[in-house]
Amino acid sequence: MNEGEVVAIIGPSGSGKTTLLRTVNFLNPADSGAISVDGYKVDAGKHKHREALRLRKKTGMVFQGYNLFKNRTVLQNVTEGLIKVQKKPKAEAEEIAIRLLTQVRMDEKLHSYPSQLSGGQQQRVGICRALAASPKVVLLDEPTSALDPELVGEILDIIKEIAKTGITMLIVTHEIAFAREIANRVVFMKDGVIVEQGQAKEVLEHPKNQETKNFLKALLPERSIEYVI
Amino acid sequence: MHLNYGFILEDFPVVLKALRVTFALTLISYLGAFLIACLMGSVILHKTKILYPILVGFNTIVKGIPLILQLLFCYYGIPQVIKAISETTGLITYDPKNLSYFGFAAVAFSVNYGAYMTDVVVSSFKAVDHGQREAAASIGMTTAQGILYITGPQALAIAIPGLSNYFMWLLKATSLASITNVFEMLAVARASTADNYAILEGYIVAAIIYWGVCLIAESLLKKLNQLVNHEVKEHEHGRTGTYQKEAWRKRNLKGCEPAGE
Repeated sequence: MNEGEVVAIIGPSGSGKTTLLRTVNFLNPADSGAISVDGYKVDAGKHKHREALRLRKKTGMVFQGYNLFKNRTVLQNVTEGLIKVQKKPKAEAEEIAIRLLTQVRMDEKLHSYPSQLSGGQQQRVGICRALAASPKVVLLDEPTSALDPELVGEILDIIKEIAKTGITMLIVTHEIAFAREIANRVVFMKDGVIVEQGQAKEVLEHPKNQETKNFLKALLPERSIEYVI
Repeated sequence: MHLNYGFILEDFPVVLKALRVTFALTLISYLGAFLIACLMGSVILHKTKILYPILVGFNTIVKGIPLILQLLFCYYGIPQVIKAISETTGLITYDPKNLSYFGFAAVAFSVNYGAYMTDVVVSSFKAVDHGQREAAASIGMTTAQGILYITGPQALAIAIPGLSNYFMWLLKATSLASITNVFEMLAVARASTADNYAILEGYIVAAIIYWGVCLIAESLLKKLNQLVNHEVKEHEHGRTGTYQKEAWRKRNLKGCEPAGE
């Protein structure tokens, strides 16, 4: 991946998209190979905990199930990493957090707990938490899969806005239209293997691989049925 | 039945004085038990290679032997151990006239309650959503930081009702130490009746004080639980609570409506 690039990973369920994403920040360490972020390379086969930690500090992650800290307020969820990990003073951390939360229009809920928020609101905070420490790469693991359909749009819009700021992103998604719009590169995976990858428009509109063709074909009629219901 | 009511009143201040000892024994044993539970819990959660089977075995032994026997083992056994250590190493001095029976009882209670509270600690940590640990890791927290700031407090909030129960039990169980030479409340209550044989009266006094103390302790622990769980579950509870209250109110009103109206 190049700096500032947005890469979308698509593919059928169980194809290893999420696992691939989670190998990047060592939540699921790979058995072999190397992960390199911002010039810092870690050998996945025999990595040390400390190395994984250093690498994680260069990444931010947005989870499918939000995973906001339940015992922390919205503001604290974002400042937690800044204060405890980056060792920033509280005032500075709060300034950063409030700026981010204002961008996603969560500035009125600073002192609410995650359980008091809707899914869309929680995911907006989740995005802020991932961005707080200015990571080199943001990993988004199906950021809209757990949301009600009417809330998907707002989260996708926020992610689009963030992508415009030039941050490097790796997104696992099922939203093909979104992937086409946002991604520079699309990676199609099946059964744990990258089957096809290339320019987003190329892969999504003129797929070369038969597997990719089948997947995209299957996805589109499925969509229209959804709307009929 | 004839009770010496005058003596009951007289005996209250005497027995109350020993409440200090009961409290001290309860608090020290509870802290010890909590420490043991946390240590054993972390070994069990991590499934450490050698320690894990040893501790699981130890746990079953402690749970399988009556508490009163463990108290007696400590009462008779620990002095022997101290004696042996002082004879072989000389690091500590063994003074048979000056043994801390209070300390021996505290060891027995700590170990016994620690074994039970281990289960609370383990199940509470397992009840914390897996994603919380991952989220902590994803922002670069070390495992220790994740436990200290994120999963630990959440597990504690879950554990508090269970841990409170053990506190209440321990508070009353300390009365067993009366048979191992510890002058806590029950022992003092019995001793105070030595002159006039008003044994039943003495026990009634002790029972009333235990009951009063437990009432206070229970309400305090309930407040603590509300305080801690407020942050975590305020809304979830609030929502279902109001909803259920509303439904209940409607149903109740319907039931209460006079037939004629």
